[in-house]
Amino acid sequence: MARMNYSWGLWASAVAGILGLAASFSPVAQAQGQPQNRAGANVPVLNWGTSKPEFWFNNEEESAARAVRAWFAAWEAGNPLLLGSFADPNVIFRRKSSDDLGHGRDSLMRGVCGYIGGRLNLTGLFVVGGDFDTGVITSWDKYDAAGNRTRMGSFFRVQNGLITEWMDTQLDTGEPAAAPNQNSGACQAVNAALGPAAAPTGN
Amino acid sequence: MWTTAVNALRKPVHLLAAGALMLVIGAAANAQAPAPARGGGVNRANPPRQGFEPTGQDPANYTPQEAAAIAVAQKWVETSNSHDVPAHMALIDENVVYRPDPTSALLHGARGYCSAFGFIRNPNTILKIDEMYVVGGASDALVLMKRTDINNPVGNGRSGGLAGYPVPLAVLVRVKNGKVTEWYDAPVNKVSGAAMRTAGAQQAPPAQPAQPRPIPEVCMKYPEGSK
Repeated sequence: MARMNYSWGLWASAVAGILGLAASFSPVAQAQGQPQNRAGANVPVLNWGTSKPEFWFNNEEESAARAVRAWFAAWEAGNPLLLGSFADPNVIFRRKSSDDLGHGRDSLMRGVCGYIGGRLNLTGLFVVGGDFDTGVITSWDKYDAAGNRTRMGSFFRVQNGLITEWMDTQLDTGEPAAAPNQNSGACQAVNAALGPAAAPTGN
Repeated sequence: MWTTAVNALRKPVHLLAAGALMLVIGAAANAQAPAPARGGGVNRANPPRQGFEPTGQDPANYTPQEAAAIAVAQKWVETSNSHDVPAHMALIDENVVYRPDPTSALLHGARGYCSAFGFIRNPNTILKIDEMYVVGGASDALVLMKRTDINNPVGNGRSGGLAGYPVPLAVLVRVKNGKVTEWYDAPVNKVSGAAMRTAGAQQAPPAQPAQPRPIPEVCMKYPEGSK
């Protein structure tokens, strides 16, 4: 009886060993052992962090993440006044990376009201912050009326829960943004709240 | 006797067979599982996670442009630490946009950058990457890093400065076609030049008309760039 148990035990351990060996040579296991990027190159060991779950955020980072999410929610809703409420009065901004710096919340709201709104989807939010300032980059998808997607990136700085800097950039090549509509309902709402924009002074 | 032994062994054999079957089914399902869609497009299997979007990245999932941008940013810091000006400037676009500080105006050109990015010439600075994130595509890539600078340790700094104290920064580096097209340093803690100036803890320079800073000789060979 003892001999029979011993024999079955040997068989069982042999079968388990063969299965384990087969699993270790499977393509899935090999892919996990040799991480590759999309270009197919081996990924080297990095000596910096790339993954920061939200529960690791410090207070300033959490506050900045909320302000930026609110920014995108206001943008999607097409509400420049709500968007402005998440910005510092002295915010600096670039609508696209090749622009000069714009200054001030009023100017920001007048600048974005012509093209704010429409479907978007925030796909990534990465934060580095401390007790003085916080930097944020985001990836997001912008959809036009026909449902075409444009991949976008944004940079923000946030202080005391308010956005102090914003910049957008188009990540993929594609159609340029449509011309802003300064007669839109959003612009009328901004003009009603702030008064008409001052006429530019000439020389 | 024989019957009793066989009955006693039947149960473990069945358990073993069931376990092996589960292992085979699990491996097959794992091999056939679709790769998770990236970018959050319209996908019934992966509905939008807006408000709960990822806050970290797996380098194995970088796009080729993102991986290239990370490599440039890493080399940007390495050449700063080796104080190798030519190698560093080889990474810089001639029309680079830069700001050494959030209080700075938007500046342009490789020559001015070389002058402003003093880490490449100062042998008493050490830069360390703590965190790095990237979003990028064929047109542009944004790299956000948390960098810690150690400036002028062992008493080499000026009195009242940050001599040797680690200064953490949020750094924006934009990369296109393998070149740095924008550099922007934003200190994140109160222990920083920008925060000290804001708080009035550091003496403001005397009120005089702004004088352009002299460009170091080693930087003169780089183009001024255009906007």
